Amino acid sequence: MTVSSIGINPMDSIACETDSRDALSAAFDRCAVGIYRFVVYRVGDPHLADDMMQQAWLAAIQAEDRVPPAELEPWLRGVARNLIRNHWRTQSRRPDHLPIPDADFAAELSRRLVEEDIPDDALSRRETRSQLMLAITSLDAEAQEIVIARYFEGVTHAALASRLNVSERAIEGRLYRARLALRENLAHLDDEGLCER
Amino acid sequence: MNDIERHDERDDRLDRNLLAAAHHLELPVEPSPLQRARWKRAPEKGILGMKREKFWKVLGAGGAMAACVTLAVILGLGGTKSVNAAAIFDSLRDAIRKSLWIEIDNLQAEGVTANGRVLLVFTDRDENSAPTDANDALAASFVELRMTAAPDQEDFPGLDLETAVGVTPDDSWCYLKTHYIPATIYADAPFLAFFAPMLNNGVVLDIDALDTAGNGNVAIGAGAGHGPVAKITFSTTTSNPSGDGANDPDDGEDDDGFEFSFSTTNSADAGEGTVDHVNEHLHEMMFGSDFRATANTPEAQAAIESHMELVRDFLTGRFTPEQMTRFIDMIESSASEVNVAPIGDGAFLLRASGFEFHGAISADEDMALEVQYHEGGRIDNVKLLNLGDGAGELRFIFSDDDATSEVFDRSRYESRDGVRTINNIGELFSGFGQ
Repeated sequence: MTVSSIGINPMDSIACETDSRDALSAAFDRCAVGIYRFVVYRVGDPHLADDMMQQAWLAAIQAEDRVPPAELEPWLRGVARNLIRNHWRTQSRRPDHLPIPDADFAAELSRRLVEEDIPDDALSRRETRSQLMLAITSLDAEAQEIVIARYFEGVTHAALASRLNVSERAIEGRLYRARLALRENLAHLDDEGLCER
Repeated sequence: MNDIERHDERDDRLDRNLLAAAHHLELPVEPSPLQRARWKRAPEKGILGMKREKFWKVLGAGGAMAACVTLAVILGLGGTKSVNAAAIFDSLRDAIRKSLWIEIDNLQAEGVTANGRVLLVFTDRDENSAPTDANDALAASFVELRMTAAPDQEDFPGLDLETAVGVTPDDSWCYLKTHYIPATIYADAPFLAFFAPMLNNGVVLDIDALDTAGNGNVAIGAGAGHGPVAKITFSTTTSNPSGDGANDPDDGEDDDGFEFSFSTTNSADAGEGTVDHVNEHLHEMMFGSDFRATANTPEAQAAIESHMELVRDFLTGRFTPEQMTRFIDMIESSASEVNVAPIGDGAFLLRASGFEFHGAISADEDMALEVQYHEGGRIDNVKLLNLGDGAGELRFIFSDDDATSEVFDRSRYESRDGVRTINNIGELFSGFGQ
């Protein structure tokens, strides 16, 4: 008697999928925090947001063959939007403290942001803050990061350039595009609280 | 002013306004690394499992219960492998009373149905000593399971398997009987044909005897808390350092060995079938992350302590009215319907249903929780109703009673027609047509 080894393991085939799963996982990691901000700002519950992120990951696995890693972020954002929409459909009421998109107000804010220096008291208004946050959290993950670093953390262009290992001019370009996207998001906030650009 | 200058002016103003606005804005709290890691720990095919995780979260004591159900018996016959289980069993021992019965009724997932029961008996606690081994906390354990797969089940169509395990200080045994093994399994593992006659008749394995041959591991589990899980793994190896194949990296110490692994687990990393792996699986459920990888960080320690506090608060069954109110509040935050009704003799029945399992999945929408308790007193039992793909139930019954010895008596299996008892490693191999 030499070898008497029997293994019945239906999951062996998973090993050959490791490479594509790693790529998917890396792509998910790159955009997950940005999508989490998108979700948690709209549902107001970190635990619920965690559940939705799990469901988004499961959806990504199931769509692994159909969605290239490079296209994962916008696809995941669509999944997140659907999860949020489905969630609110099942609820009898939406909590009052959660932000509600106001398309007209947001479009006007988008215009004012480039045409006037908005007074501080106007910027501090709840309506202004909520529309801005809806727009910021709708940015793609890379744009979110650079906007947060510049406006929330006060990181200088030079420091950002050093952090991202790019030139300051490249940072200026990225910031410019991020601001543009933010204004576009504001101008197109829909009435579902699920704005996406 | 040309277009570029006008553009720059507008962009500069936008920049200034955003800088000013940011002072009034508050970002959502960033997810922790632990949190981010959990996002990708959802069972791959485990929509149901994920929802159950949410449910366990609702309970606030889920890890312990899920651990009870998912793994009833862990034996690390090879030595230190069982240490990981010690903390869990010790916590359970601390929280639960003398013994805990878990009844599994028609639990279906991924085409596999489980019925059975689990008994955990805990040792009398010595406050001055910490367990160094699982067996220090666990006095005895027993599992009895019948696993059946639907005819159209993807991996094991029609599989019908019966197993039981009894572990006491005096005797450790396992009973295994296959009522039907689908051809797909034979195709994947032709060697199983050698085992088939014995398994079809039923076999009782003396686990301690198997261990005398060298290293040995036995892990048996049935799942409900983390995706479809049904895992039975036996392995034992005998060292053969002077064997002919000593220079062959694929040969050597495993020249003589026995391994039988069965799993319906669909999570991507669940096929390894080792005690270590099962223990890790347990810890993940217990603590929501890889325990060993994170326990050294203050964040992980705090999370574990917080979780264990919740486990104890729930499982000790010594809720004060105030604690019960908080508990009900917690349930209410996730359940659309919560009712508490007196059922006589000072007992109450809490029933919660309509849990929010977010998304478009609807399979477990009918899931309900029932807790029978005495106000200011103990919890008598907990039921989870309408679980899984069918109307499955899990019943947790806390008891102060010692388990009866009959439960651990293997003779009722050995006396069945055709059942063979394997008491040593030699009999084991001779039984497979050496």
